[in-house]
Amino acid sequence: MTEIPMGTLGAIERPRRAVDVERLVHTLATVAGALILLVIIVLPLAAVFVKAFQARDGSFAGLANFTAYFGNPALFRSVWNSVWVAGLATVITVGLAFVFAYGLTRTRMRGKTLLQLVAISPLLTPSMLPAISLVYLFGNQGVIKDWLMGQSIYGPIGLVAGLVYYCFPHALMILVTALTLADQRLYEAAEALGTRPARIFRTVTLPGIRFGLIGAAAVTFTLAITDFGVAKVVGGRFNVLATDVYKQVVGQNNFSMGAVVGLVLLIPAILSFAVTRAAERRQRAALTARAVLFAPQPASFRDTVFLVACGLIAVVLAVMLGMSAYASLVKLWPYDLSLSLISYDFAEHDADGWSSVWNSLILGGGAAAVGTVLVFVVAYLVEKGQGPRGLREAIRVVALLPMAVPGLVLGIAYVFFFNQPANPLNGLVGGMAILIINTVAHFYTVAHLTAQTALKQIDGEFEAVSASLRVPQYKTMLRVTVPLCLPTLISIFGYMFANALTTASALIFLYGPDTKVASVAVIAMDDAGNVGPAAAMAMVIVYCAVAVRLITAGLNHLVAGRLQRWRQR
Amino acid sequence: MTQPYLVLSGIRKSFGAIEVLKGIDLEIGTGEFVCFLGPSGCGKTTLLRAIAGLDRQTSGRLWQAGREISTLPPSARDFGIVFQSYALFPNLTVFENIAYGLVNRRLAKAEIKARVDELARLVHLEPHIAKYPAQLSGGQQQRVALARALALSPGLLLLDEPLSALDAQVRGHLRAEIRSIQRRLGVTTIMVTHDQEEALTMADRIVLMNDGRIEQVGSPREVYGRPATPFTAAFIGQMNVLSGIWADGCARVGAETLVAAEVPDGLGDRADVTVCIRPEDIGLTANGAAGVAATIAGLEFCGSFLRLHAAAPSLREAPIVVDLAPERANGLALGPGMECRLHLPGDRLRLYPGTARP
Repeated sequence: MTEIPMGTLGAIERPRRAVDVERLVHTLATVAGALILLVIIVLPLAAVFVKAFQARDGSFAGLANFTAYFGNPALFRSVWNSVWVAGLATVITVGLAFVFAYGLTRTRMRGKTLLQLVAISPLLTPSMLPAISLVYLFGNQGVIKDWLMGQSIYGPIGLVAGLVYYCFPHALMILVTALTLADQRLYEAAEALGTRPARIFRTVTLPGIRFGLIGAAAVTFTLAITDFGVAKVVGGRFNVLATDVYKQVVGQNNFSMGAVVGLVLLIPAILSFAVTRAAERRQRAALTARAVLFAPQPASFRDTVFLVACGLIAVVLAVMLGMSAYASLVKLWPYDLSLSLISYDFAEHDADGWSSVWNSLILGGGAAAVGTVLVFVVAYLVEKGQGPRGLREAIRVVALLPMAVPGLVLGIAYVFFFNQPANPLNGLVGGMAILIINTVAHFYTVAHLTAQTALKQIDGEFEAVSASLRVPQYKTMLRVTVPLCLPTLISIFGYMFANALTTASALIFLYGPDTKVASVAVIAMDDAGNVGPAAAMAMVIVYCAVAVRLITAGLNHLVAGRLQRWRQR
Repeated sequence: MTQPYLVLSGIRKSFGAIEVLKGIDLEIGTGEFVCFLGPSGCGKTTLLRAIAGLDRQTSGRLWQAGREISTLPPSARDFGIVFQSYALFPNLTVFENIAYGLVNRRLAKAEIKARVDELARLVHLEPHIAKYPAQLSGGQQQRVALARALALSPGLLLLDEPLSALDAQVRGHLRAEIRSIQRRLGVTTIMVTHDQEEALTMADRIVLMNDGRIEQVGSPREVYGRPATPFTAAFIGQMNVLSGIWADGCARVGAETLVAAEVPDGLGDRADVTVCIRPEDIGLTANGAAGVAATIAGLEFCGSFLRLHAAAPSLREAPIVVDLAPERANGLALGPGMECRLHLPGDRLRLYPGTARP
């Protein structure tokens, strides 16, 4: 080995800086990030509160709007309608999702991969789709209309059925996670003590997943009570809060009353958000690091029973999707059932034709690109930045906010905030930019939490090492942190894109003459009685969402295999 | 130590209401290898991070090579650092990791390559230069981290528990290697560790910390042989700690009277006194009238020595720990229940004023 003389070691010059430029830049960037979140999340929501206390002409009205609302039996009835419909949908959804999740995690039934794929398919559909399928199945000219024994699908029955379909995968994912996090040794201990299966279920299984059950119920209830698409299509004359907001704001131009209904809608959403967060925290603490993950033993009777039950649920889910797919290909329901692409000739049924699909793709791509960059940079500044601690904490809290805000409320919030003539961003109204900004804000929380989790998993000393080597932190971010987070960035991109395609609730208030998107076109065509083309447009959304998911999955595969050779041992 | 390389003066650090460093004064000489040793939570890592500028001190000042660095950001200070986690960039090869700081200096490619090769040779990593960190063993990863920290030839090398994630054999080997590289380069080095054996074998000087304060600074021999406080005495190595009363120039412990060769200042008559003696300093005989009567309560075979627990009712309730070399023990035919005599030589007794903390 050669000696390294001190001479060579001293040869590398060291630049010195008196001012901590890096810290300054971080502070400025963090302030900028906080301002952006202020404008796209906090201020619009504040506008809803302000509007609720204003008269129609903008003067201060005190509680007048609220007294008017609660004094109006027709409006107030919607509260009760929404609560019991969402409650019933929650009970059914969580019950079915529990059976399905139990089958996936605690049995050795066959066909789990296929069943799971079918079970999460509703995530890729706009919520109008199950409602349209229900119309084809049970509507006035429905295939199996008789099954309802004279009852109408338009109203609570259709609402509950559509909501169960729409909420099922959300409840399922939470319960699968809860059931997966079980400690095998608890079961071994119970069996070693000669406990009967029913008692094991009651004393080990249920207590282990009770937070998961609470979380699933809270999420389902929020989704159900705030959903717009199902209520719009099969709600009929059965009024619920979501459709009331729409009618007040779009139908009657009564912004103040819309704001009051929006605030009422915010209550269950915020409550369930708080419950979910608490449940998540408890759930995570429940499983110790040394636990052994549960692995089910084969049991032919149990496995068969669950295969039949889960199979039935999957068939129903597939029929709901398949009904719209089939109906969209039929020439003239129910008179001419020959196959045709006539429903996909959107120009015949809607003034905007196919352009709303292109608008959706621009919105999706735009929201995904802008959202991924914004979310990652802000999450990076919060987790790894040198900005002021208090500000970073504040951003963390604000980033959680959109999760508790229903799309409808965010939509009217944007109307109230950006439509004010005094707002310098007023020029954005009606353009694509405001749709993109709104979509980014709408889906901000999940994207932020995903980025935060990925960043937290990265060694916290990278920044210290890079400082000691006098490499500016942004270089280390670009050279190390971003490559490490690439799979996360891709999945945030896919999440933003697919959700931008399927959501309608906020966009229905914000689109302009040139920016109608596909999900809004579904509602418009359904409203106009063009159910076939509405189903076709809903299917186009599904195909696009599937394509986005396939492409991002492919990208991730490529990244893991080829581009990031260092991941292999 | 002619002129101190690093001077710390009155360093305090609080996290909220909790004060983690309670006034640290320290001088470290050029080329010295110093270990910060102490139990977890004593503030040793916080002190290291304050020296690096990663967690700035709440108050107090620091000078490095004659320059005040108290308020400088880490990037304007002069140090290389190795963490317990190594913090190697997983998406970069060994070469790219070592070259990470050099690339930013805008050196010529050939110059960088020559420097990285030199460093790779220094830490015996030449064959692995093109591999990624995930393909290396823990010990090899540690060497990469060391080479990377040394790449810019820092005046100060900071090591934060660098060996605690490794298994015993690799750890022993790396100890010697780090020490030899440090000597060769003459780089002033501070290592944080909670492992007293590591500190005793590697350090020129040990800074023993407890509860945000420095308990003792000294060479390993001094700290082990002449612990300045009961805490040092009990923390480094095994120690029997006895409580007694100071009376007539002797320590009264239980029914026994112990005479120490060295007596600290400030012991008043009837004052509490703590008496410490290491297990290997206690003599044991099978019979005779001299010494403290005891019964062997238990034996532990510890490889190079035999540890026994002897109940000596006249000294205190808990058993006294005695270490015997195997050749001594063989002649005694020891077994549980055996009666014996303990001898506590006066020149090995260490006395401290006050009652020892439990």
